[in-house]
Amino acid sequence: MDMKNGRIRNGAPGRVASGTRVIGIGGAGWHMLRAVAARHAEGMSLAEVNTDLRASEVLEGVARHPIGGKVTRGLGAGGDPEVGARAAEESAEAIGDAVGDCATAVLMLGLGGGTGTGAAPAIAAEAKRRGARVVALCALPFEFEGRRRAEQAGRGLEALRAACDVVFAFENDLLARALPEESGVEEAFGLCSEMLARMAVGMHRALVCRGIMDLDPADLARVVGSKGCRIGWAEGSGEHRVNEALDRLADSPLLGGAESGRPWDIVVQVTGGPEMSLSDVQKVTRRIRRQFGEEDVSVTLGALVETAMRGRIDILLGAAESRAVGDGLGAAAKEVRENPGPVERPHRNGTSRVPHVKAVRQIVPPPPPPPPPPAPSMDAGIGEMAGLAAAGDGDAADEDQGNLDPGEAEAMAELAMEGSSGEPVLDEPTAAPGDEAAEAMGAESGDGLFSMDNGEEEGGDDVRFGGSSAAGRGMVQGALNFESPSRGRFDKTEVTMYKGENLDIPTFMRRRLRITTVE
Amino acid sequence: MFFARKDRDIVAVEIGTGKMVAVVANVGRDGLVRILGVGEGPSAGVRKGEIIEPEAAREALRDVIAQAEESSGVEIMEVYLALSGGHLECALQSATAEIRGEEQHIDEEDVAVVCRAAEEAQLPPDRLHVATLPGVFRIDGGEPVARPIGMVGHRLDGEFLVVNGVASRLKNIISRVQELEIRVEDVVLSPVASAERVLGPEVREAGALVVDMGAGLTHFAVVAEDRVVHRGVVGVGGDHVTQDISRAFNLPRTNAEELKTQHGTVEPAAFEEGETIELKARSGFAGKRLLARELAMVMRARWEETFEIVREQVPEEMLAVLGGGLVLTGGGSHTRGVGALAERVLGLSVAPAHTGGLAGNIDTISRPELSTVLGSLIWAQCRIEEERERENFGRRFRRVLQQVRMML
Repeated sequence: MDMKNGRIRNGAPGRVASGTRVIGIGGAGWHMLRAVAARHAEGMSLAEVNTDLRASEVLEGVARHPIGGKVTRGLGAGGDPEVGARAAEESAEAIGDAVGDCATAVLMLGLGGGTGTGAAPAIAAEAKRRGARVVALCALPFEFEGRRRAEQAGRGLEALRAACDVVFAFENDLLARALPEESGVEEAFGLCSEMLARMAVGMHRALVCRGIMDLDPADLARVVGSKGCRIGWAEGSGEHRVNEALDRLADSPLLGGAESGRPWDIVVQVTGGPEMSLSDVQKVTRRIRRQFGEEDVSVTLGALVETAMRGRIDILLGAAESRAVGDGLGAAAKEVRENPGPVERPHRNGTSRVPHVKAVRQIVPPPPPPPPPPAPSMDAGIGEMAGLAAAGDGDAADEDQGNLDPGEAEAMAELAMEGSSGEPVLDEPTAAPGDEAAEAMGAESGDGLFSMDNGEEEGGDDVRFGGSSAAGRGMVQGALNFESPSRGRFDKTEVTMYKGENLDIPTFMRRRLRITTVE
Repeated sequence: MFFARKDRDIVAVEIGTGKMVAVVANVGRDGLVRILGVGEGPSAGVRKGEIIEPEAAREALRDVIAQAEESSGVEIMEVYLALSGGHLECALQSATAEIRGEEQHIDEEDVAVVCRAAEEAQLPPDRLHVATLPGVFRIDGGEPVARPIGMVGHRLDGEFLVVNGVASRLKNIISRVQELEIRVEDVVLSPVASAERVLGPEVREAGALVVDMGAGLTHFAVVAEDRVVHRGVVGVGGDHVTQDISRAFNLPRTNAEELKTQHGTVEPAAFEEGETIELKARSGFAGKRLLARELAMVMRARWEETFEIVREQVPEEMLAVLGGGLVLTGGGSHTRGVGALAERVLGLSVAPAHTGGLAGNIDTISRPELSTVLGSLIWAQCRIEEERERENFGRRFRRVLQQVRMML
């Protein structure tokens, strides 16, 4: 996908990218995927990629894609990333099928073993080639799993960073701190899977679903991709669901020890039913702000309404210390931040520039909602999700001890910094069904200006996170996102929401009216 | 009766999104409201009916107050403030009181007890009670009555529309007035005020829906049997229309505004197929040609949606009994074709706005944009009358504003 000109250029022309594909890779990936399957969300599809199909049972609603039949003879990668990589090479077609035509690919894996570590970079690259935005959620091995796995994990992480837009790498050792001493390994892995599953759904909601307030992918990437990012989550239901969820959030095990009073950079995804009010959302922000100590705390919020969430609320929070933010940025992102490129910043009153308009442009409406997902096959809680008895790819752990260099665990986010650097944000429109040319117009910041075509100013073909884009949603919403600098006249006002619709977005856009440009 | 028939100057102020207005009037011994002077100017620092830049808002208001003082020759000390905002919410609350005393005659105090009980409904800590609209009463479960005082019974039930708002925003707007060393005598809810202005007594009795299409917000009020039975607000107004035009045709805001006021309509059929509108080039603007029908489509989409939301917020059974139909007011009501559109969406026929109830030089100010502020004067006059009546009883009715004042 090419977002440079506010246009789409799919790797596979004519096909429509939509939704999120969650791909569990290897043994650990399977366990994580199982946790995701238990909390299936609309517009999300699941795929399993594995070399060893003996060990895991078939998950309902999950498409299975065996790889490396020849290389491994179906016996797994034996903890060797080389084998994993060769298996991926051999089964390029299966990987293509696994990736499909999603707008966002979320890879889930344990680093340190064979299949996940070896095959994930190839899968990420394929997803990217097909125009998806790629997020990797991975677990780094425990210290006790030994040096070899730690080293393999480190190298795997490097490779993943190069291939993904955001990598969240969770240090499993943090589990030891989060859980009571008497907790078993199963419980620990269960908690890790639960967290990553929540993150997968959260990523999907933030990046693909159209929300009341959409999280800026750049913010998301910045925080989640930071080293040492903490994740907290909680749910509430019934009359006092908001308070209940907030109380639980405060006790969220993996958030423990997040000291208040430090400069936290926080992203929050709030999902609720249609009854969720703006004051609920405000309450969430306020409480979180207070909890983290008010000062120097930046809270960026995404809010989403799902009918299935009626009477419930789900909060997912990522917090990174501000000074760590940026550490996780890839070189490309840094470069973009430092040299934002020749994109002209429109004046607030919108008079500074007359965009070069193409003869005809289409206003691309939000795509119709994805078909309802199959009913979740499981209704698992944390306990039931325990698994991952053997970490990594399900291979036996090495005996020797070793430490992972914390620097190696640094997560990478390769993202464009338009949003953060205050540059106008080009939208990342996605082809709406039937929109063959996909000549979507990009919205830009500034009072009522569209950026139609910025010419060929920006080079490169890479997929990047745009500031406040709405990729995968087919929405020309970029210029109106919450807290983005581009809400024009409604900047500084609360978003006007009605039944989950953002009324600040022009009605004609939401209603898919087509505007022709007269030459 | 000491104060009862003295004439009195009253001032109504509206801090709107598009404009600010202050109107000075005199309430004569005959109860007639005579306009003495008007101050009107563009607004600043206000969006969607809420203050976003306090200083800019205060200065704009200062100008308008000075203008009103000059044109009326009255020094403005206290005002009735028209209050709007997307944060205002209303709920129907009921409460009951046992009638005390041997004879069980219902008095002011009993009514006040019921009223207070209804207001005491739980509010989140950040919200504040703003107003309790006149409600209906039932004595011992009988037929509804509007004025129970003097009647006999054991139990008094009351049902009121109780309005609350976010404390910080209420404070934000009231403070702007106080900063100019002007007291806020009371607040008037915008849709209630507009209804006062545009509905005549017969229509009020028959029932009508008033939709006030402001720059920042669209308010509505349902009046039936001479009282406001429902009110609400849609956080969408003329500003959104301008924004939509600007985004649809890639125009600076000023040009979009110009298009809206000069060529704006919600009837695409008003233009020929292929007919274009041309905006001339000028310094800083390269000029633009666009399809007239598409302009109408963009505007229609916005207002149609807004009316749909209004419709969804008014209970069906309430709409069904509004014999007086629909009255559109506010700046947006100038839009060509908007009446027909509203009729279609809301299923009510449009009635012309009532313009009586005021005296003096009102020709220049009888405009839909000023319905709220003029309505506020009428509302204030009614309250003054009511208070005079109450003072005859020697009891003062509890003011809702006291609460607002306490937190300031």
